[in-house]
Amino acid sequence: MGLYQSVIIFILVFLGEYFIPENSDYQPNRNGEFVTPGRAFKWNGDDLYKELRDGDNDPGPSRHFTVVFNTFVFMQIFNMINARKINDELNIFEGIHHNSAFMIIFVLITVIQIFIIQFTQDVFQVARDGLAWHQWMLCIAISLTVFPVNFITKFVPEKWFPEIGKKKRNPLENSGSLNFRKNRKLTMTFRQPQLSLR
Amino acid sequence: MEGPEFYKKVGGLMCKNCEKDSPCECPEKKVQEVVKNKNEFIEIWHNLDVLARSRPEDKYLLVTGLRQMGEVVAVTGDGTNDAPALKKADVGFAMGITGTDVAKHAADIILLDDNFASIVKACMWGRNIYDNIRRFLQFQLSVNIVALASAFIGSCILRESPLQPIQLLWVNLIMDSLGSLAEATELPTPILLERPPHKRDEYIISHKMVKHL
Repeated sequence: MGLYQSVIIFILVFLGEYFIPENSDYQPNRNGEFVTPGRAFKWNGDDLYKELRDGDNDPGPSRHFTVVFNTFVFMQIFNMINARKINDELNIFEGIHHNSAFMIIFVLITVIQIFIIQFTQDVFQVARDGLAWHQWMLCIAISLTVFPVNFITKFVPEKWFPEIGKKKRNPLENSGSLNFRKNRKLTMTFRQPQLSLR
Repeated sequence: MEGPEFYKKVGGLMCKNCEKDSPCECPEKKVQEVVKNKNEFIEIWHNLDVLARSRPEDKYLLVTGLRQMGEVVAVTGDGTNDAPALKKADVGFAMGITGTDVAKHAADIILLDDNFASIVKACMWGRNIYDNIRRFLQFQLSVNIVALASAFIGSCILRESPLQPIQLLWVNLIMDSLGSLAEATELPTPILLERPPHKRDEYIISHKMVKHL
C-alpha cells in the first residue's frame, strides 16, 4: 500500500503536467489545457516554476502541487477506512456505524481539508484560488483507487512477508514471585526491641 | 487428583539459579522458580481436570509449572489461600464481593459482580484493545512510509519536497491525533471471542499487516 501510494505521488509530481486539467478561465494559461508544472527546476538545473515565482507578478504556490497534496491527504483518509480491518476481513465497512467517533473524525478531516485547499492560499502553500471541480474529481478518483488495491492485496499470500516487533521474553521472569524471606528478615530486625542497660 | 498427592509426585519447586529447594537464599531479582520433576508434571498436566483439596502450595506449584510450559495462565479466586496463585498467574481475577482483601490485592483484575461471565467480557475487551493498537500501527506506518518516501526522494531529485512543511504538519495532525482516535475507538464485537488466543511470543505486526503496509 505504501509502495502503491508512493508511486502515485511520484507519477503526479513528475508527469502531472501532461494530464491534470487546468482551470479554463485561469490567466495566464502557460501550458495549454493542462496545469503549469510546479517543480522548481528543470532536469538540466534551469529554473522552471521558480522563474515565475521570482518574477514581477508572482502566481503564488503551484496548482500542480496543490493537486499532489490533496490527493495525498485523501489517500490517507480513505486508507483510514482500510486500516479498520487488520485480519483480511472482506467487508471493511462492517460495524462502522457503531463507531460514532470514527464517523465524526472522518467528516471533520474531510471538511477541514476542503477548507484548506479552497481558502487558505499561501498559508498552506496551496494555489491562490483553490482547485476547480474537475481537478477535485481527479484527486478523489485517484484516491479512491486505494480501495481496490487494498482489496486485491487481501488475496496475496501473507507468507511472503516478514513479521515485525517481537520481544523475546522468558515466561518465568518478572512474575510475582513469593520470595518473602528477605523481607521477613528485614522486618524482624526492625522489630527487635532496643535493650537498655540502665 | 488431590493436591498433596500432586505436590508429592511433582516434588515441589526449586530455584533454577542455585538448584536448591525454593525458597532459597538467592537475591530476589535472580530467583527463577521451576518445577522439580518436569516429566512427571507434563504427564499430570495432560490428564488433569480437577485438583481437589489443594493447598496454597499446590495451587502455586500448578501455576508455576503451567507458566514454565509457556502457557498463559489466568487464575480466579476469593480466599486468602488463593493469593499466591493469583499473584503468580499472568492474569489474576479476584472476586469483588466475597473476596478477601488479600486476594484482591494479589489479583490484577477484580470482578465487581462476582460473575464468571465477566471474565469472558474482560477477555473480549483485552483482545479489542490489542486489535485497536494494531489498527493504529497499520494506519500510522503506512502514512509515514508514503510521507517519508515522497519527502526524501522528492528532495533528492527536485531540490524541494513536493509536500510543503506546513502541509506535512497538517498530515501529522490527521494521523497522530485524529486518525489514532478514530482507529482506537473501535468497539469490541463477539466475533473477537471466536478467534484463537494470541500466543505469548507473537509478533505485534503480523504477516498480514506487513502485506498491507
